[in-house]
Amino acid sequence: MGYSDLIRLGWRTGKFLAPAGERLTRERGPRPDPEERRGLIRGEMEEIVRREAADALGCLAPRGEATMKLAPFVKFREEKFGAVLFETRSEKVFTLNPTAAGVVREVLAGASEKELGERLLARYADPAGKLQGEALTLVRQLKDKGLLTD
Amino acid sequence: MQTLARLEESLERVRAGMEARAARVSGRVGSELADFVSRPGKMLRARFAIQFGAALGVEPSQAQTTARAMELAHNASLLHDDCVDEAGLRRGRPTPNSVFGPSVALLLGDVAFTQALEEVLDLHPKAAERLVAAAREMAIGELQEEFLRGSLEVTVESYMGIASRKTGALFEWGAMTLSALSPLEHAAADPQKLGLSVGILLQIVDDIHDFTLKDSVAGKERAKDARCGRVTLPGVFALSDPAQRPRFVELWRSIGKDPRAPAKLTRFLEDSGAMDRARERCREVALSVVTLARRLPVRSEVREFADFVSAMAAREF
Amino acid sequence: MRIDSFHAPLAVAWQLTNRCGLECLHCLNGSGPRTPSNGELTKEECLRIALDCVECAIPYAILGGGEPMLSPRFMEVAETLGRGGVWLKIETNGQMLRSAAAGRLSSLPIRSIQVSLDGATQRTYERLRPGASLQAAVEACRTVRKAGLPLEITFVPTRFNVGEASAAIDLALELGAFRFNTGRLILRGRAVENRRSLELNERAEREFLRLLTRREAEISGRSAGTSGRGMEMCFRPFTFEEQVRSEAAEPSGTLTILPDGRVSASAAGDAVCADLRTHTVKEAWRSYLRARQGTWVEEIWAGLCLGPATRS
Repeated sequence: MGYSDLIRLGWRTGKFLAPAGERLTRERGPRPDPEERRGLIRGEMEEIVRREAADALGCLAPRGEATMKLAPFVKFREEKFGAVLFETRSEKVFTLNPTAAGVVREVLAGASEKELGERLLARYADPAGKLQGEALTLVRQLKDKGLLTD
Repeated sequence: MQTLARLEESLERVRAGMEARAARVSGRVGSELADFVSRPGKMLRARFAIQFGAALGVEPSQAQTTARAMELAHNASLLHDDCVDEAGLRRGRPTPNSVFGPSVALLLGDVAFTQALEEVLDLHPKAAERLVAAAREMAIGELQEEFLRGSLEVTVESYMGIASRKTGALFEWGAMTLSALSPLEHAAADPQKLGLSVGILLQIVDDIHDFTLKDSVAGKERAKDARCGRVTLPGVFALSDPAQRPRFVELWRSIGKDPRAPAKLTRFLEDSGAMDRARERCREVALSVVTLARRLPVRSEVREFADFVSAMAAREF
Repeated sequence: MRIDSFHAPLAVAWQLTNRCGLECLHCLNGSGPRTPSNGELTKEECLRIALDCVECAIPYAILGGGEPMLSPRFMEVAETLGRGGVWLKIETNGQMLRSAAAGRLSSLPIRSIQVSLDGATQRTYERLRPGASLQAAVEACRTVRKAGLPLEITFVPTRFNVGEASAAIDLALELGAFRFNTGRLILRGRAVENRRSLELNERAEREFLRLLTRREAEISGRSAGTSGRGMEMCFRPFTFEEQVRSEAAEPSGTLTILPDGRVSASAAGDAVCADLRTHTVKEAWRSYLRARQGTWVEEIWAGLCLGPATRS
């Protein structure tokens, strides 16, 4: 009987006594490699902090007049593949790829349509020169779908 | 001048209160250890609490209590952080972990946190509960940062999120507590946002200073974050620029192998403009704080508070 | 939509209790005043789960039961979720909803309050819901609207009340509901016992569907905010079996939490896949995803469609 079995026995019986005659053995198993464990946790942590990034974005007060925001009843949530917009009224879900998620993040951080292009170009490469235009198209589509509002 | 005199008087009361706590603990553990628990530093959190409290019309003794709680909770986190980072210096003096070992420093941090809780037990019904939540967020932020050591996948947003927890959470607590104590009408959501933003601002400034300040001015070792494998905002900006990323990674990986690597990295961050982008982000956050502060009810104190925030953004130590 | 790529559910449907002050003839959970409540989650467990939902950034929670407002945890759970940014839908019979509660709820992100109105007259309403007051339910709707909260109405068509369906739609419009929900009676729970007296025959059901289609066309010609108020008519999918198939093909990413903390892999409450007393929400979500992949889930979906509750 290993230690964890002994513990469970204690929970069940309330009598924390090793059963007479039972052989108590050291639990064996491969020792985890600390560096490897750390590496695995690091990967998980990178995902977690990306997801919790929205904590800080809402703190920046809008500076300009023309700032956009999520429409009422709409929630934004980061995911590994990008993000989702959930329109809770219709219960419709819209998935966003990483670039689209980046656009919405900038909007939530207070970027107006005018500032959006500049902010995105500061973060993402744009070899085809289409980023600004596509971001504005996306924003307009999201407004048309009632997911973003002025 | 009158406002400054009042501020100094309040800060003096906060310091006196902390010294009184140190005196009580010294009877149990000796004066040298007690000093580590309650010794005040730059008192930025205390200044924040007093000035923000004034702008909300909070009664001064309540603002001072909030200030003391913030300073003690901050001391607790520093005592623990110095163990995590194996730091030898803090506020220009040897850390307790370097003198007595990490176990002592951890226990001193626990004592400091209990003192912070004791301060607020009678302050407001929710104050202690919320301080526990703030401490949780601070610890989670630190844990997240700890496990991101060595990672080059930190984005600006992730960095801001971690800063909002490990530093912002305590300011958020202070702001929300003062808001609850305020007898004056004000927009309910503003203090929380404002407190969080001030905390993030402070973190960005500290992270820039980690590269730019001399050891004697900083009171701690230079480029400590980089030595610990932690990418902070200037580095995050460098990583996010495809043109700068390779050189940043090369210099980053040479830390620990090349004794001049921290200095080279600092110069690179300045020359490449990444440090300036961090300073620009600092200004944006400060501006957002001032925008929110304009809505605080006691107009005569708002200007002082805004000046304090600007001074924090521009400070040199 | 690939829900297995989501790190957490998109929604939780949380049955806070199986108890109810009423004993409706068609209740699919078989709830009533005598339904035992032992085994339900404690306050600490409820709040821990609510905080876990907040930490997982779950966007949306539906609080139901039984009658959720009968649960002593109701307001604290709603406030914990709401203050954490979770949009809430409350499904209630309206018998207990007063202005104090509506006032508290109005400070939260309420997506809607759904009130059951199964008739336009007290006599008809009470036939399906013995002891219930239509007036109380109507007052609840007015209270919801007065508090500035979105209102939706649910109407379950049976032999007793289908003749008042049009009047019920008018009542919902007058009360300012943004949505009128209806569909075929779900033959589960107490509805199975009372099936003979409740179930519409095929002809009555066809007429009911025609009425709904006609009223939908009329109402969509109006617009909210003008003299003619708008309201969505929500009746597709019409049958429970269609709903189940639709959910199987296009899952909504919703975890159903039962009153004792167990998590169901199906909306019907069968096929428990986790227990929030001992699992976190994230662990429950992973179990749910594994359960959905297993072939036994397909059998359950099939069983739901082929069991005694199914009309041929």
